[in-house]
Amino acid sequence: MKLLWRLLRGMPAYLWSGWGAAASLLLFVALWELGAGYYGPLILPSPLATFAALQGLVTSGAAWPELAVTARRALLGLLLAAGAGSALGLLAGLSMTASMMARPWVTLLLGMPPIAWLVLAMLWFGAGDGTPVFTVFVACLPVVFIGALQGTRTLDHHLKDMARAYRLPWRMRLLDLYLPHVAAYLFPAWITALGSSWKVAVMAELLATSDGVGAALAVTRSHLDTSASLAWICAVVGSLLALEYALLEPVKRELERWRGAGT
Amino acid sequence: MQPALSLNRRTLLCAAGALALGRTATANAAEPLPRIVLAGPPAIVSAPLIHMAETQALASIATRTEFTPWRDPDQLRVMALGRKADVLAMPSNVAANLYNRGAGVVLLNIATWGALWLVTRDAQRKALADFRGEEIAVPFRGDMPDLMLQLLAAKQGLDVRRDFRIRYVPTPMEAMQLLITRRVSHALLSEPAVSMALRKTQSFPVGLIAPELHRGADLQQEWGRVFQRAPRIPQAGIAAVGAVREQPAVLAAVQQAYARSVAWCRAHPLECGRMVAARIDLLTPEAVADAIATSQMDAVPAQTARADIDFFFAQLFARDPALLGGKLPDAAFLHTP
Amino acid sequence: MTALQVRGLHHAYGPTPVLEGVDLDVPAGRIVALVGPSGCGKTTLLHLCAGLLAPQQGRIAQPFAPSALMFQQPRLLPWMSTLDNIALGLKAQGMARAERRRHATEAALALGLPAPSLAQFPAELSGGMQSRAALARALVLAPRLLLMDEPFGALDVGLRGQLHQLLLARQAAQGMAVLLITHDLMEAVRLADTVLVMAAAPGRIVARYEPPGAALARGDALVYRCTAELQQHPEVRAAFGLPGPAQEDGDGAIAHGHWQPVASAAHPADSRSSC
Repeated sequence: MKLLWRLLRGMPAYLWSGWGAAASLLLFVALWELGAGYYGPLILPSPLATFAALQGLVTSGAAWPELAVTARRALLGLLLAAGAGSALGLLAGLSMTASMMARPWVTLLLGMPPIAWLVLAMLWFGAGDGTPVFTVFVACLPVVFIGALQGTRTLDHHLKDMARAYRLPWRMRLLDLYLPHVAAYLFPAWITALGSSWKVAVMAELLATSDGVGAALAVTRSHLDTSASLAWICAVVGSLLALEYALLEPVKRELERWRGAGT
Repeated sequence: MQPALSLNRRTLLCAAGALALGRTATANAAEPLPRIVLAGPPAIVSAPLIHMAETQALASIATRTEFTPWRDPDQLRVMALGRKADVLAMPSNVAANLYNRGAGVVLLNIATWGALWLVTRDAQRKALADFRGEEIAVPFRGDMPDLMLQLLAAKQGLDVRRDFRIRYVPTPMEAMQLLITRRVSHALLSEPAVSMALRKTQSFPVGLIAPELHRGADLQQEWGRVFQRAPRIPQAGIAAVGAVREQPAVLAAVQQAYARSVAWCRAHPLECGRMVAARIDLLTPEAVADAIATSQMDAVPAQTARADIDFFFAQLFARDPALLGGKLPDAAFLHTP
Repeated sequence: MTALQVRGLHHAYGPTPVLEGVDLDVPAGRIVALVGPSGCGKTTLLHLCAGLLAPQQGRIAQPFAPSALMFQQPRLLPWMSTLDNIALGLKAQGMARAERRRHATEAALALGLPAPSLAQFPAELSGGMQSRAALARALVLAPRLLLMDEPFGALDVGLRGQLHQLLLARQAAQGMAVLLITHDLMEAVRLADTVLVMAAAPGRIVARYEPPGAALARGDALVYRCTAELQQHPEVRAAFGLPGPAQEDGDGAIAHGHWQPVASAAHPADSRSSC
């Protein structure tokens, strides 16, 4: 109840703070307009043409099904990566041996371009959901893993000793001691992974599937329809922004309230 | 004094006249271009262009003739707009698309008249209807081959969604891999991928594990049968972009040289294949030679092929207008000599 | 009588010996103070008694349950409210939420924490309030043995005095054993039944001092005088690295309380004793 009240009370301030973000986005659109004037409509359509194409896609009902398919794949892969990465990172952070062993693996995974995984995934999973979900999973796992690993290892050892002195059971240690601290490292990692998941899902669909935004992008590309291609890209970026700022940011602010206290 | 003046004026007029004649003469016997760039995809339509570059066939109008390949529609678009090439070989529907989007493309001729085949493991299937109920791998979803399949199926009363199981794959390479690994039995391919696939599965080492592949349905024959026309599809040709469009002498020279090179390629398929494989490393000489034999190469000027082109475009337009860029191209699209 | 017993404790960090031959007893209901210079191993000894470190050589018998530890730093969890921090030990024991919040509130108010501070995060409290919260966290468990590591270092003299009285009252009422580390001689004299003087490098106990009378009954004047005497004793001065006693302040004899040097193999006892 108190939480709900606090959310509502903070809502106007949060929305108002959106002006800054909106202003910066509009600057980007202005630069885009400039580039469009210079390059011509076949290479870089103007923002208005793109938004008109986007509107066409939405009103014709073509946009939502593809967005839903891509969103489903991206979020599924992300959830798997976030779950596995957080758990494994936490465990690795607790054990010196595990974290030493894990570091080169993580570098390996981070260094491999997602497209390499895509080729393998296409062989294993074919043209269905499996390919994009697997590729997203592999691309996002190391990011989350490192966040959780770093978070777990940097917990102040004073607090760890205090927890031992007061004989906190393992469940309390996990929920009251490690998680709130690790959350500060995990959240940025999850947000990065969210962005990656959409990008990688679209890329996987571009090459491997016959539905989803990526596949639609492949078709508009072969039709040389640049404004439709850009419209699809806008649709993806728009959904990503909406997800991040409507959902993740408020949650992050709530969890990080204790940091701002006392300043 | 009077006669000297009039002599001077006459001389002046004569001189002026001579100068004017001289200028026109120069314009007609145009300065050779420093170079002319020909571009083409990894397909048979590029073979004559490569021959022209190898033999400097356009020496009369250009000091240097060069060939440069293009691989995907984005590259093609950049070349067409960026004055990086003068004459480009491309599929006919792509040319129409570019024209409709204002890229200033003029179609000079149609050179390949049909290269679509259903490649299959089952030598018994010879017509499209024989593949009913089967899974077919189709590359390039939404592109011309896909639409052709849909067109031909619809015209025969088949529903491409219900009567076939279409499996879309990103590129012909994937389709070939699926065939070789026996994950799929049939694939829709265009030359030269068809010849590549057949050659590959007959050669070592792939031949050890790969199944035997055959040319199943000839989609050109299907087209002729269901539409009551000649079994020829105006599939690809060459188009001019940029400044050369304003130079009829150049365009005429290009078309003549191209027609000569087509004849040479048909007469010497293996040498032509070697030339092409040297420039485009995706292809092998033998595969190119096979493809030349089956692709119905014939350089037909655009105006002469107009009826076929209009019919072909009308069919595609009815299926998916976006393939042609939203409208049927007007008359200025076809080059008038 | 139950007592925390340490016998023959040796401890080293790598090659460096930190504690050597330490023997000590903390009987039930008694307050023992450990004084010594910084770095003499007092904190290590406390952690060993608390069970946070395993003794490398020697024996520790700790029969008291429950026990509570108060660290040198408040060590409150920054993401929980002060009240939840105080209730932490109770939550670890499995007490229900409403009940443990009630106990925590009582303990906090008893130590003089203002009610609004209980809902705030530790970062919003002053150093003194954080120390009191840490003390409340320990006391709310009603421990039989309370281990304290320089607990009142961050407090001003007035607050420190208040908390001394509170601690003594609580200790008397509940009969808990207390092992207190401090480098403040006056605090040791005021609070403890037994003061153990430690020297550094390696850490060892060099003397025992029992201030006169019961802790609650010691007045300020007595405490000052005993502290002065203690501070002038050559052993104490040596342990803290201070120069020898000034002549005009006496000869370093202890007139109040009971002084006894502690014998050890390497450091034979000083035979001087007192009344």
